[in-house]
Amino acid sequence: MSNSQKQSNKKAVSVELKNVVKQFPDPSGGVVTAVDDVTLQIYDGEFFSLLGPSGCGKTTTLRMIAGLELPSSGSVLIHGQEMAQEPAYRRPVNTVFQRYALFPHMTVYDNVAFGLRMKQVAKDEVRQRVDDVLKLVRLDAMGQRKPGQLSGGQQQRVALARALVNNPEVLLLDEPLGALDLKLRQAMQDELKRIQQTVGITFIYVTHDQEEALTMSDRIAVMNDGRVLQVDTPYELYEDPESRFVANFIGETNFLTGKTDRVAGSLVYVRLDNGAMTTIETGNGAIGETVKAGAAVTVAIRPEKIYLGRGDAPAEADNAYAGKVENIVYIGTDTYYDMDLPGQTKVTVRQQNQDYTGSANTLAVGDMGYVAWRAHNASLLME
Amino acid sequence: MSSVTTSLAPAAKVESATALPRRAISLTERLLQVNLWLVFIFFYAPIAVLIIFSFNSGRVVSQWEGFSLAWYAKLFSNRDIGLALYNSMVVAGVSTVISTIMGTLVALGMERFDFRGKLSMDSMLYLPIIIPDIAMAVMLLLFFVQAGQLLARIGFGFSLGLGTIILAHVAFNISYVAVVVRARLADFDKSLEEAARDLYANEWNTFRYVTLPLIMPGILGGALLAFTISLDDFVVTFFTSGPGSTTLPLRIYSMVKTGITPEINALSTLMLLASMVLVLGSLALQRK
Repeated sequence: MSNSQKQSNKKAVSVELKNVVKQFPDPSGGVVTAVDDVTLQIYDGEFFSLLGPSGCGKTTTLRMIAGLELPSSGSVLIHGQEMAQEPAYRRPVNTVFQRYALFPHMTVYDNVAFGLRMKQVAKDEVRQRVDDVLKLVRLDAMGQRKPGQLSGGQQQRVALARALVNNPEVLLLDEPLGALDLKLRQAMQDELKRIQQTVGITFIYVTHDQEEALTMSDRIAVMNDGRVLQVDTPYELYEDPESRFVANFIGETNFLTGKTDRVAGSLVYVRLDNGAMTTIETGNGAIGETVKAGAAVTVAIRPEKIYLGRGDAPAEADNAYAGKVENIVYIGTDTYYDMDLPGQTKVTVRQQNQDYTGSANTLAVGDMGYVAWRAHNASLLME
Repeated sequence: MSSVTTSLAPAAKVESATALPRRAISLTERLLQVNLWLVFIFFYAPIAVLIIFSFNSGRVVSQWEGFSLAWYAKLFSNRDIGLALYNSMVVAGVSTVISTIMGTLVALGMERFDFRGKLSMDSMLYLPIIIPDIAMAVMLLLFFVQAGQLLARIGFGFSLGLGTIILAHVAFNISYVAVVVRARLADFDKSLEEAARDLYANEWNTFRYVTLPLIMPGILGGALLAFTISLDDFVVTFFTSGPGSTTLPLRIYSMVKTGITPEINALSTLMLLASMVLVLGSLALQRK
């Protein structure tokens, strides 16, 4: 969060959500809260992602910015203008829909021209702008085709062109690559990023794919159960998750529970449940103000940040613990080792297969070895 | 693959085992096929007879005397039939326009809005399709007579005629149109309307440029169906007609009473042709 506050001083706010709540009637007569008190600031020219599992409220949040749903309470500001109760057609935003929603009875050209015609833009200008945007998405030869005659990737680009041609203040994208196969997805990710950098419009991108969000976004809001859990850059989210959910949803993590023993500057010493001591370097010099000794905490450590060694742990290592190899999973680029530490504690280690032989040099199931990690690579979660 | 399985010994056994049930299936299939042909003969033999005898040169319906177009010529010079055709066209045309508009609006309302009693209204919508023609005819006649008496007291009296026939046809045609349009709306992708709203189209423009063009085949299909049913209707028309409002089916009926002539065969052939064209057109539009 500290990161977003720093940026807010520099950049103009494009979209702001304040305490937005959306409730739907439940078939049994009650209400379902799809979006629960969401507050967000999204800046001009930013590639911003809403990331979360299905049903987390990310699409509903996007639809409330689009005007396709109206919030039950709260504010939706677009460039400072209150828009919460405005209908979709009066908002300066456009959407790329999940299944494209191209008008099947119109040509590609007419699909793209639709928004401009509704705004009664002069004919010559419509032609100019439609031609330009079709060139931008590399579909200039397809204008007279019907959507049904195009491939999935081409339809996707028509949907993008149809939204972009209106020069929206914000472009909303609802899992736009969800229906494409893997290779095409990756190509379209690059294409989207290129287009976003060309036009410089704010993109708000909904996805459940953490890798996609990490690759493309300037900042990501991770959502679960209708709430925003953390808003940060991909780097901060991965390296310094603030909750178990975020640590687990983005990448893989080992969780070790324990109690804080003492706090010294930016260092926190934690007594793990198995009795071992571990040290976490938090990067916050005054962490002692928020973390008290004796508090129940979780230590999160990524599998690839753990070093796996043979023999006994060296005395000078940071956080080193002896353990037995319980299971080995070879996945090509890397190998996973499930390590059994004393006191019913298990840690998964991920090692890159730089020179994997599967024999003499590497550990085998049942071998004793040790795991170790740097104090600054572990995260402290207050739950 | 096939070469591998045939080279294996057990495969032969399996084949002989399946041979018996396969023969049984083919017997059922053959019976079904025969039945299909019988049904088609049953359906279309009378039609063939009708068409063939409309080209008979003789006066007697049951005896072939040679090919002639004389009855068609006579038909086109018959003023009574011309007038009946005109009445039929007015009734079918006007009732189709009214019932298409109302039926489409009913279908849209049913599809888009949730309200109390929607479910029972939904099934009541189909009632005019299920209800026997004769019951429909009698109740409409009673209704028109009552309403005529009531309105006569305040100076708006009317008698049975083309107007009441049109109202009666509207009453059952709304259902047919609504059913066809609803089927079309059920497959309608709502995100298309959202896309239109997102692209600055207000509710009217969304309807005009996106919803209406996309459900148009359903509406036209419903209209053609309504037109055909209206053109062919006898029972309801018979009960709700008055002097000077004879439609084509009523005219044919009165001609039959004085003895069947090949002129009727010719007329029926033409009506059959018109109905078939309309129904095929309706089906083609609904499939679009």
